[in-house]
Amino acid sequence: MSELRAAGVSISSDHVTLVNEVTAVFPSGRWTTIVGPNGAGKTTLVEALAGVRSVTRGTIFLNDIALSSLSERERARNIAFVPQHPVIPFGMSVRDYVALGRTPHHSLFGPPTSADEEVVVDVLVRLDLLGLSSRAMHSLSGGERQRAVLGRALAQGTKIIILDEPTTGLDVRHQFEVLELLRREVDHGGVTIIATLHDLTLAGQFAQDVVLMDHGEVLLSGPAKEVIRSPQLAESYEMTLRVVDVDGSDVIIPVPRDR
Amino acid sequence: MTVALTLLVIVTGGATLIGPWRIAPGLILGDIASHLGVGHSHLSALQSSIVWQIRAPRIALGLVAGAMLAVAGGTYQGVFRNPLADPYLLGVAAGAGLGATVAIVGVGHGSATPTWTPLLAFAGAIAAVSITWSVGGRGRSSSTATLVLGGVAVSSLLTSAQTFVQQSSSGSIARVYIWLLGSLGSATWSSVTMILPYVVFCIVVCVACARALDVLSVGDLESRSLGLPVARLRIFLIAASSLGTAAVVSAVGLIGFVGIIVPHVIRLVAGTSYRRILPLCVVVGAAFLVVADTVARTVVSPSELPLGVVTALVGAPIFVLILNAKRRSVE
Repeated sequence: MSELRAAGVSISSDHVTLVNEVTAVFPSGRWTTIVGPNGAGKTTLVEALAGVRSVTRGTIFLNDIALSSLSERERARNIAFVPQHPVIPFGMSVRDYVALGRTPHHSLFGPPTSADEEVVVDVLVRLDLLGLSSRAMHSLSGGERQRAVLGRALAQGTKIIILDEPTTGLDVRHQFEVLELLRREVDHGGVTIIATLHDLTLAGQFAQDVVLMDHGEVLLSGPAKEVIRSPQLAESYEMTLRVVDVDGSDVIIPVPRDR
Repeated sequence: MTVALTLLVIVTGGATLIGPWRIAPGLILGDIASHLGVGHSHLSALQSSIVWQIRAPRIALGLVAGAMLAVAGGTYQGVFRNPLADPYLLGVAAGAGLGATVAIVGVGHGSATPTWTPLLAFAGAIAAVSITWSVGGRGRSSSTATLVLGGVAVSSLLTSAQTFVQQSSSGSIARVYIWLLGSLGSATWSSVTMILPYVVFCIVVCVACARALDVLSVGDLESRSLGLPVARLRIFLIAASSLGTAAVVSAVGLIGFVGIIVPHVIRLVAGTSYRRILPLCVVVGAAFLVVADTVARTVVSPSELPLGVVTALVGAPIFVLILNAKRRSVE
């Protein structure tokens, strides 16, 4: 079991409240997507859930243990985090980059164990990165690079993966490729996924649960189909959202209100 | 690594054989062999003391100082994720300069540089980094920018204080300048053994943390998500490399360029992983400084060039050559 729970979480920076009194559950083994307009506080919240940003008030619980009470390494063995714009170290090979995911598992001063190496090779094979493993990260295309970034998160071997806008800058095929790959982890690996997404159609297709945020607060949360069709969603974007059923999946078409 | 080590051995050997006092290389080799228990030395007592009390400690000090400055430079570049970082970034140089100037000027009328100059230089260097840390290091752990800016402020303040002290006593300006430009000329075995513990400790710490520096190359946020104790690692590495640099500076003065150019040359040749850069810095930094010093003490023999002048004079063209060669191979 690997459940994250935010209990009355508020986060401010320079006296500006970015996240206000958020209480939400991210259930074990499910995919929850956080949606909401720009500036809603999505990134701030997922950074706090990943434990890389401290909260001003409230507590984040990992399976009923306060996240802040865990050591950095313990936390990193439970939660992997992929930011919207990962820093790509110049000159680092794909293999070394993916192997960074093993950092919380081996000594900081010693080399990775052979078990760590096996995990890295397994991830490279699963993500079809083996052929690229000696290439430099900065020389990859956007799609390949994002696959390697996911590879690092998978190599971390955590039961929870948190992603901030994992489809940024990818074409439609690569967006699907990334999300399909994550869905496989939920379906077959029992992994809990928490992701922010701007594309509401993709959010509805891939998430089981959707959390709607605006102005730092959670407005609504529940099964994806319900939240996607809720009037609050359209209200928070100040748009009319048409939901069209195409072969059983919802496609969301935004229409400006003054038309 | 093998290439670098071979280079180091050749350089060290070569430097032992060369000097303003001509001694046949064969005799020196014979003497070294006799110390290893092979054959007999044919060196006179004078020649032997030139080799063992003047040349050898000077070369040893060059090896130790070069290795430390290069490793500290490489470490700073990793910790600050900034290729322009050098070991003097946080005020070590300015603090040591002020300490040394006070020592030299304070004694005032004597013609020699006082023996406790290194102590005051060391104290000044440590004080400067501590001030920088207390000014810029607190608050959000993620911000290295404030720390660097703190270093800039502390450096300029201490440099102006140093200039003031220096100008107030015109008789010792020359000696202050000589100290500031750096030299291995005053090397003795005791100066080597004095800084060696610091340097060994610092180099071991930095090289052991090379893997952590590789992790840090993805930035503070992501390193933390990978379980790296970023803030603690940063303060630990800065403290270690500053301590080593302060010890070296107190013994040899301000030798510029080694800390910035050696790591970059290695990066161009051997790649960007600190697991390769830092161990190579030990070897290449040591070799580089001994070469530079050999040039400094032989080119205009029997007088000497300031070491800082030679490191830049030798280092810059090598750097440009490698940079050009690399650029061509990349394009």
